Amino acid sequence: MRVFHSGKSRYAAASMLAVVALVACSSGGSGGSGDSGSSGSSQPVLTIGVTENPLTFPGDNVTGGGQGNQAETTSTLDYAPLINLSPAGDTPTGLTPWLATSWGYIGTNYETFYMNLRQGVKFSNGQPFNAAAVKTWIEYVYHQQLGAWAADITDLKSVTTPNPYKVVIQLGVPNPSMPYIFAQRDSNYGLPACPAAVANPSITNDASCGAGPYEVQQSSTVTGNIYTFVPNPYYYDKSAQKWSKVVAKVISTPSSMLAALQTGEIEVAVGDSSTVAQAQSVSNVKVVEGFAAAWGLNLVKRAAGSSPLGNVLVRQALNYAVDRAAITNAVLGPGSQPTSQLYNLDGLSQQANNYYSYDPAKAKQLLAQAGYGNGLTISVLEVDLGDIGTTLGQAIASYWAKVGVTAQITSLPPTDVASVAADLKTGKYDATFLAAPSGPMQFGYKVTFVPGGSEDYLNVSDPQLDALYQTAVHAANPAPYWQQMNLTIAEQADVLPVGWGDNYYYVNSSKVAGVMAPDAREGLSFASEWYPASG
Amino acid sequence: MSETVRNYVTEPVSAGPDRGGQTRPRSSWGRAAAPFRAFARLTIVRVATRRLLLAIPLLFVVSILTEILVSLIPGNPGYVLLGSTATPSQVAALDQRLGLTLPLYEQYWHWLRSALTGNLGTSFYTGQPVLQAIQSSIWVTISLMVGTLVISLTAGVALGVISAVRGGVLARFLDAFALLGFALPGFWIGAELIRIFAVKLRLFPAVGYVSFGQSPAQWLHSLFLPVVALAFGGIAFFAKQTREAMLDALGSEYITMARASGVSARAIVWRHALKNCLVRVVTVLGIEAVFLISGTVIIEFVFGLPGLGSLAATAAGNHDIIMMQGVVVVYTLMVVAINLIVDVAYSLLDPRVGVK
Repeated sequence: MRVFHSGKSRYAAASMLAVVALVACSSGGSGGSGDSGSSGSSQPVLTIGVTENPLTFPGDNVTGGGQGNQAETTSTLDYAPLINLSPAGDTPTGLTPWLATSWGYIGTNYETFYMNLRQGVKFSNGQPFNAAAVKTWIEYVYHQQLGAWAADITDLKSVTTPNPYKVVIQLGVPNPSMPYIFAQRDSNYGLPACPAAVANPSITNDASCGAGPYEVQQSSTVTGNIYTFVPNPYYYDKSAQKWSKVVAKVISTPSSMLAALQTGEIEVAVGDSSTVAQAQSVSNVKVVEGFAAAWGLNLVKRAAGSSPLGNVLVRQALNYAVDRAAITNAVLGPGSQPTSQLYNLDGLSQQANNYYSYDPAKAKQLLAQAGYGNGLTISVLEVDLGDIGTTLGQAIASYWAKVGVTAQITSLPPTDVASVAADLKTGKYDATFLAAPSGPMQFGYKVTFVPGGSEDYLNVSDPQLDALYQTAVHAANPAPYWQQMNLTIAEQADVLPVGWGDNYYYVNSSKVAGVMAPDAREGLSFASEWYPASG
Repeated sequence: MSETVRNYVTEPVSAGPDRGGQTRPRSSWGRAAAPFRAFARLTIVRVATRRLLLAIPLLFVVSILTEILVSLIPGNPGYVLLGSTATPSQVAALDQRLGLTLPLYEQYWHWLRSALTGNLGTSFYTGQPVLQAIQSSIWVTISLMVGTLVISLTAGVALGVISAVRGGVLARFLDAFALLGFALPGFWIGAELIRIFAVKLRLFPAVGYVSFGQSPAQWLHSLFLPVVALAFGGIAFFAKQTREAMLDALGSEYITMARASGVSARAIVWRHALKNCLVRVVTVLGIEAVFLISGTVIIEFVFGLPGLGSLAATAAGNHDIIMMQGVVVVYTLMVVAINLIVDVAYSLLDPRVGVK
């Protein structure tokens, strides 16, 4: 039975026209706020793709912020740090002035630290930036213990302000890393918020209140989706405000991130090891990368007499059994590098870095020496962190199997961290996942090798490391001692690092310049450093 | 058309049970209340009232279940929020601040007391009031769902009717299309649409959402690909259901009578048979709409849409119990609303269907 007449073609034509009209009357590929390109002022708009919410308050979100490099990428847009961690990293010339113009220790025991502050600065709400505001901020972060990095400062005795632009911090224990702590990496202390936000953090739910070159514009911001930064009218250096607006789009999936870059919806993307090969083939896109963290295994039961890992020969054998180059390339991405040490900014030791070659024969020999010539079983608890985590554990296990070591891997999702920690503290597992974010040696030491550290699950201490640490914190130049600590850790095979994973940034090089991810700065790039490619 | 045919075709419905002409004297109260009683006797009103009353215990049950199930998930929000380098004392302090050290029933009671006053709490992760987060997200999801349902229904019904009427190759094509629609996952379709229509052809954005208030044209533009990705399966589903229902309807006696009486083929299909097969379509519309709620989660993630699905997925990953509780309550209300709309539509399409 025929039902349709010429009306069919009318409907089809109408549908086609509707689609064409829809496409034509909208600017192509410009979702979100449609902010790509110029916004009417002489300066262009920068649009960035990130995978985490940018910070609106460094002490907020309960976490204290700064949980990932994506949040840090935009952190210095609205929250200028006291001390700038420049591309040179944590070296004598790497820390440069920003809101603090000079700093140092009083005395030789690293317990009294001062900062002289820049004058004529205001927060984005107009409140003055001065020593009183910095004192309020430091005490707030310390006493609230906001964020995982609040413990960077232990035993804070007092914060005094001898004049309106000088802050003096008195500690109860030596801490030679204070300049680093007040920089923008891994720490809330260094990103002061205005006193009004300290008094009432809820005002920064979708707005910011820092002293950075930009501020979050509440009206154009949708929490968790799109954050719009506009120039801070009170910022002291207008020449640093290179963009009329910076728009950060939160895009969760790596493939969508790359697609958005390809369509021109974003000009810089925080990359991912799963898409880096594809990004490298896109025209006009430059891939910038830098070392972010050392990945591997924490040999938890290294001091347990009851465990095979209590024998240094076994631990060394496990390190020799692993082909770091192959695993790193396959699991951590093409730009990553194999390593035998926990990467640390100030303790980088080339000797420790190459300590263990891939030598299965030597591994078998060491195991036989230790009395495990017939093989042994190691229980490993892995945390499934995206494309690394469990994959890395399984890769390591496949190499261990070739030397007669069987790995019993238990894999848990990251939300099971509490049960992870609880099980590890009971000694249920011999080893577990290790991801050591790059940072000063003493941070890694306290976390992993000092009883009470969050990753020293069985409260194991090493007298040799402890002695080196005590010497370092009282030395005029602690760097050689940090390096020796790294070498000692490698010699004792307390951990099994495999490689340094990278941070990646994909940049439309025709639009944006200045994107750097230096190894000395843990592969981080800060949006405040970027500028238009045209000038 | 004769009266007999008219009755066969349209199957008129009586206005209600016949009271047999009985009357009784009414008081002034009775006279005043008469319009309200008449209103209450309306089927639609009875249907809606019943649904809404049932929603109350449903919300309680769902919220309690959510609290219990979330508490059973291993892990601790403190570790998730503070990261693996946090010390146990930091985590403990955070747990205390978040009220997580209280017994479960106390946590639920605190949440319920706030929720009954309209306060769904504050997100652990973002510090944003849950209600505010939901308010800014819900319209994205509703836009996505409504757009998908409109496209799925329109295209699906049309395709189903055509294939039922024409049969042959079109019917076989529909079967194959339905199979594809059921088999292909929405996120894959979404990724391919991005690859072809956004990246290669630059016709639509790959990610992002523009609100209707900002620009209606851009709003449509930003939703087009996500809606198509979601509607693919829906079109196949409706087309299949419509075709089966239409074949049943076209084979029934009243249609035969209509044909015999000279009613036009177009009228038979679009006016008479379609109306009766729409009852089945409305049933599956409700089912599809409920399934669509879960479908939007993946699509919102793929296309970077700031909807409820993205909110729920992010909250789950961050162990943000308060936000999850709020989102679950809203999803429950949406399911109730969908079922209510379906019931009302039922009663409008077929007055024989009423509340007993």
